[in-house]
Amino acid sequence: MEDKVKDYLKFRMPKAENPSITNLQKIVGGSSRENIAFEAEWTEEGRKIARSFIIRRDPVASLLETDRELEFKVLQSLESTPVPAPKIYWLERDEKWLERPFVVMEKMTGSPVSAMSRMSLFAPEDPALRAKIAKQWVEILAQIHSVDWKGLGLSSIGVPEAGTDCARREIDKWEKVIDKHKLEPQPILTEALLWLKNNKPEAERITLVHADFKQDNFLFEGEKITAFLDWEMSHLGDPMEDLGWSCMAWWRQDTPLICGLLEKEEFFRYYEDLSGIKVDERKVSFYQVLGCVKMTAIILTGVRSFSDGRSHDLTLGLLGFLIPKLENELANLLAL
Amino acid sequence: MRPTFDKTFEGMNYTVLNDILPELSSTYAMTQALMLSVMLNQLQAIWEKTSQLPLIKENKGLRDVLQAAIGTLKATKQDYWDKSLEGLTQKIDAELQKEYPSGEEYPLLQSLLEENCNLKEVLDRTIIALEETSRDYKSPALDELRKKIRAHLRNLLNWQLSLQAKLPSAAEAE
Repeated sequence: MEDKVKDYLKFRMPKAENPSITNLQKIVGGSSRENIAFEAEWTEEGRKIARSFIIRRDPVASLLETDRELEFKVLQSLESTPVPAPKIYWLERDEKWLERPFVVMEKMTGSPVSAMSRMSLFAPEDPALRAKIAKQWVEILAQIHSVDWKGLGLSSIGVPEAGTDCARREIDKWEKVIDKHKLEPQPILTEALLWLKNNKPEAERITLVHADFKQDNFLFEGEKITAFLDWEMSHLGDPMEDLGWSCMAWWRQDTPLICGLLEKEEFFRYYEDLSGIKVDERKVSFYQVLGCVKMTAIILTGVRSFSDGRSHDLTLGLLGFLIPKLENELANLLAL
Repeated sequence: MRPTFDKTFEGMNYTVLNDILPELSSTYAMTQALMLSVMLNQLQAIWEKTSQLPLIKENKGLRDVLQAAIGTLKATKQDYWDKSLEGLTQKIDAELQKEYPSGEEYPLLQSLLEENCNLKEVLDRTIIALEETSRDYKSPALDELRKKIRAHLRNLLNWQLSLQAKLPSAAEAE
């Protein structure tokens, strides 16, 4: 693997002399891509350069079949914005290098939330730190929703029409995933899809949506969030979608705090102050229901690949057992 | 969604033999890993012979709900009827009368799973048909049927949740 990566660096950086690779290792976490970290050193025009990289390679089978081209485009566009996202270097479609397509990005400094706690609550013993991180977390969400996507050329990733099109597109997308991967009929999911189709809200505005904005998709160092990760589901849509996803009980389990970080009222108030976007709780609830349906679709994708024997990753097998928890959230939201 | 246990056992066994065992260096740890694999095979065999009861119960519950649905749909026929409801009633009737192969002592697990899947498929269609019908025709009887189906789904879900006590939270598993 090390030699293959070195060959690729030589191909991408023809001016780099004597590149060397160290600490190449697979990183646990991130179930939709295979993440491989490494450090590289080389000499260029007489200068020694050292840099840390992450390769995000398409997996054989995963939780989610996502569009790496879209992720590349969004991350490239975000470079000129205040949103703390990793710098992306290359998108490689040619399978000759590492057997499957991949992207190469900057390895950001900081630790994932899992390094702090495997509990649902961030920094359980340090509420002051949690409050600081929570504030930045909301600030980043407001930054994402304030991105000038037209100016950055992001119209090419697909602009929803006015009205209920934002909601319709997401319902269609995830219903297709469910139809493709489900193993047996799920009447509660059927009830939820019918409800979603009958209750599509109109979007007040269209923004960039991260679409996986939750408690463990960032890195932090000390008291600072250094990067927001996992952009592969991002798209243009209703900003309330990100709020609905974050508000899902699925992410907090045993704590009333949103994503284990902060109170809902505080979240909404601070978001409104920073973004200037009024929170519509009815729409947030709609996207919370959609979030549960989407999460079910994502899990079904993984369970299906586990059941079909395409993946032996036990995480995918285990997640299947958690679907009743999502159905329970749906049943509660829909008062079934 | 019911994760298929045979696949889960197979996946666990695969991981023990292919991902864990080659990484072990002590003979003791390797022997324990092999024992774990043998025990998983044994548990799978036991599961295949003893796990019918909850499914028999679940299928009976589904049959009862669908039986009630047939009664309501046929009674509705006097006031409102269309082709899709006619087709649905026939479909439910056919499913309720279908016989599945049985084992010598107990029903076969695969037959029960197939029956369960087919009953849920018909229930799914019933939910969709009731939703579509409610747009043109308001009926307290059909509303009551919808409530009955939802109550049944809630009970089924509660049963599934009761089996989850030892699972980690979503955030931990992911």
